Amino acid sequence: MNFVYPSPQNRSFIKNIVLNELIEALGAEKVSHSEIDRIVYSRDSIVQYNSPLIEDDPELPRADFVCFPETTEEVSRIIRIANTHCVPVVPECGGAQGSGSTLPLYGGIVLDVKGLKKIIDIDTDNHTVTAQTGLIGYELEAALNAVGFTCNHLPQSLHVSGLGGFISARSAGVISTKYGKITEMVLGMEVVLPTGEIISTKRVPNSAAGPNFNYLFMGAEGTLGVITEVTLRITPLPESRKFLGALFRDLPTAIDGARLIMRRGLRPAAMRINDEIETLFMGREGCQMVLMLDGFEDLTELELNETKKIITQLGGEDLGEDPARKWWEEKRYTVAFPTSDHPLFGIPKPGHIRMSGCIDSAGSFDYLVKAHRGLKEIVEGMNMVLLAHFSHWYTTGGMMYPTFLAELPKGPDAVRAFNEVWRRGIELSHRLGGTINHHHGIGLNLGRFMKLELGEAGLENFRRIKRAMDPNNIMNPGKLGL
Amino acid sequence: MTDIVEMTRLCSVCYKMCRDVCSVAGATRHEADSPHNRAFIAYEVMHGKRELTPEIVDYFYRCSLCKACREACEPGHDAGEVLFAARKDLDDNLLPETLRSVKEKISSPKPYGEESEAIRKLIGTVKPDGDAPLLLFGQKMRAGSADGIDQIGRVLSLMKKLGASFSAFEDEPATGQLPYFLGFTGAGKKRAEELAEQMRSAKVKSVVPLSADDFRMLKVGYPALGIETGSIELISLPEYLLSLIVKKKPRFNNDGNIAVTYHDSCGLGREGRIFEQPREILRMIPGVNLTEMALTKDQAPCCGYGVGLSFTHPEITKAMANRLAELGKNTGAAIMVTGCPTCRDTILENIDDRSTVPEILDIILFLDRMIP
Repeated sequence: MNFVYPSPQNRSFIKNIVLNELIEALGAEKVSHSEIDRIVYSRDSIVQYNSPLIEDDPELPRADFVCFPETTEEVSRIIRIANTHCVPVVPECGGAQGSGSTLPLYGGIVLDVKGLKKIIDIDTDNHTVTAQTGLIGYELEAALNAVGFTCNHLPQSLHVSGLGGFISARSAGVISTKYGKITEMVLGMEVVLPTGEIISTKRVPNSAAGPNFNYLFMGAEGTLGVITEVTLRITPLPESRKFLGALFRDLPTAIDGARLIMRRGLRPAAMRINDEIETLFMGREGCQMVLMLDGFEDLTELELNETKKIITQLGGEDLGEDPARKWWEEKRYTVAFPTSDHPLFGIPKPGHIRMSGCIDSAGSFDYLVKAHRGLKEIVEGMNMVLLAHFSHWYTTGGMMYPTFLAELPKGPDAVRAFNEVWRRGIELSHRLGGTINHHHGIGLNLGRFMKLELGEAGLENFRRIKRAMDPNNIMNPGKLGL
Repeated sequence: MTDIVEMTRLCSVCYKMCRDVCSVAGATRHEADSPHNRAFIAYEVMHGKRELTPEIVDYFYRCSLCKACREACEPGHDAGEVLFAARKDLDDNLLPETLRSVKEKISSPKPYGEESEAIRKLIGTVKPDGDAPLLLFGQKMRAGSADGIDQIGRVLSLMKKLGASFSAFEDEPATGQLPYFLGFTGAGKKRAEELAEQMRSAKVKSVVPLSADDFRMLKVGYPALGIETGSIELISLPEYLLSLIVKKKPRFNNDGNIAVTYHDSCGLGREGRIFEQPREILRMIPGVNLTEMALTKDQAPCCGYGVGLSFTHPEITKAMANRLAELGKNTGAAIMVTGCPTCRDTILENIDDRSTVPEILDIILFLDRMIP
């Protein structure tokens, strides 16, 4: 879709008009065009990755304005102004997405929703929480924990990302195997459409009253509107939590173990398989599995015992609770913290660039083994390293979380290698029947692969929806391949 | 220990893992206020990609140095230390106007002005006894607080109830915390030397600063400046009060159940690791039901005083104070007890509506009320 924005000679004039209207609508304290704000909102995690999308280090595209609304009505006002003047709007919450979803490619307005920070209602009888979507994940979780509840959405980015981002990118937390992705936790939401109109979906457990419009906005990454409020289901903090580690001889056996566990009807909160390379880093040979089991005491005891039977049946070694407890209590965020010797964050050799990416996907149990093997061949064939774990499970399959790492001489070849490994990895996922992304989102980086995921007709249908809802194409243009 | 340049780089490439506990970012909700982004701008300045301008310096001062970022970071990187280094001894023409206009006052021995004669007289009634600890009332209580004379009166009252013998300086020098943490190292050092000398001359054996940031200055700032305090023992206010209560075993006059929450002051908590002692005190009082806020201890947000943030960015202080009060309100507690009188003052001076939040008392005022 082409974006309509004032021509350069009119732009300065329009910018002043827009600025004045935004200040009038929100108040000067909620609108910024300072250089510092425009710089910091030009970056997200894709930049930290040193992703060589383009050569050298050019200035990143900057927004013209940053707005800090605090209510749904204020978001609506911003979008109406943007529509009037055909100015792009990029909603941002945590700004931690790794695919460039929140980069303001065409300037315009970055709409920082973190000012929408109210917890509106915690209903401990009906097990729901209603909150504005600008809350960072941990802010909501801490408030729920204080009253003995949890929302069970605990991704590695819990301290970084916000509700709006979680929902917009269809994210998954580390205990999604038992509690579902964020999509399964949403009952209803309030959304500001690209026209500025405000709609709400009902906050009910389920319905047959037409299509579920929640799913129109979840995963749309801000291209179809701004989610400003959400009702999520919550549960009491678990009475009992048990841990178990296991070691399998190889990846196919470990994945078979996961399959049998899910098939048995067991629902571990967390079940994480490290591939052979990751297991080696833990000082073992084979494939390690760590499990966490939540629930009331009898349930966790039952699930623990049944899980142990399956491990034994497959010739696996019971490692006791230590590896799993240690992972949960001490290590689950460790990889995200930079250190000088961290494979992602260390300083590369002079003239080199260190790059990485997570080509995550999901598919059947069979798919996982084939996809891992195929991706390993691709990555290692390009002189890169692949580390993988498998961490979100379903009765019909699971998710692969493979990270490639490389250090290459800076320049056009690094750009080519980066794009090629992504392309080949995604094409492999698609060819084997998997989705091109499980929970990190599409953003900018993967937009060009959406035709694979949806098919030509499917992508055209998505574009039709986009054109109908956002005729001026103001909402997060350039993303999701739209 | 990672050097400051590398630490700046590492903070600037992080996924912002500490952003949710940053006291300023949590209050302003601005992406620019996350420690990661401040480190990114600092890194660009360090490497000549960005000029150090008054706008950028003003931005560096939007940090309360609460160190929540350091405690949230598994490898212990300290974005606050990066900002502290960025502020040190800058030219006056780079300073934010709000700071430039008060620099001289903040750097003086009396940053809040001279205390009143009535306060001096009141403190002059203290009769030290032998090796009694020195209480440092702090410049804010002595001259910068709306009800300073009442606060000092309550200190004296509580000490009497607890049978405590202590000494006080009728003319108390500033610890130097304000100029030091605001980057005026020379002035901070001068003030620190003055107080250290006065304590040595008075043969002080132990010192109890009532203000958490004075405690922090003595604990962290003095060693960093090379200020010798010899064998003077530094005791935090909660530790001191707990020792008195354990010894005296006072009767408490609380009739019914009262829900109380506790705010961990940055200087006591994150810097002094004083978390349990004030809670132990509260639990000793019959009928007091301690209910914790959602963010406590290492995650407790700063009240907004921010060792000088209230001078450079009073609007941020206001947002922070209101946020903290809101967290207190969410507990349903009737009273929020702070470990530090300055925290109490800062919250009360800045909250929008006192009637909607718990009553805010510092630990001295609370105990004076609870002990007949």
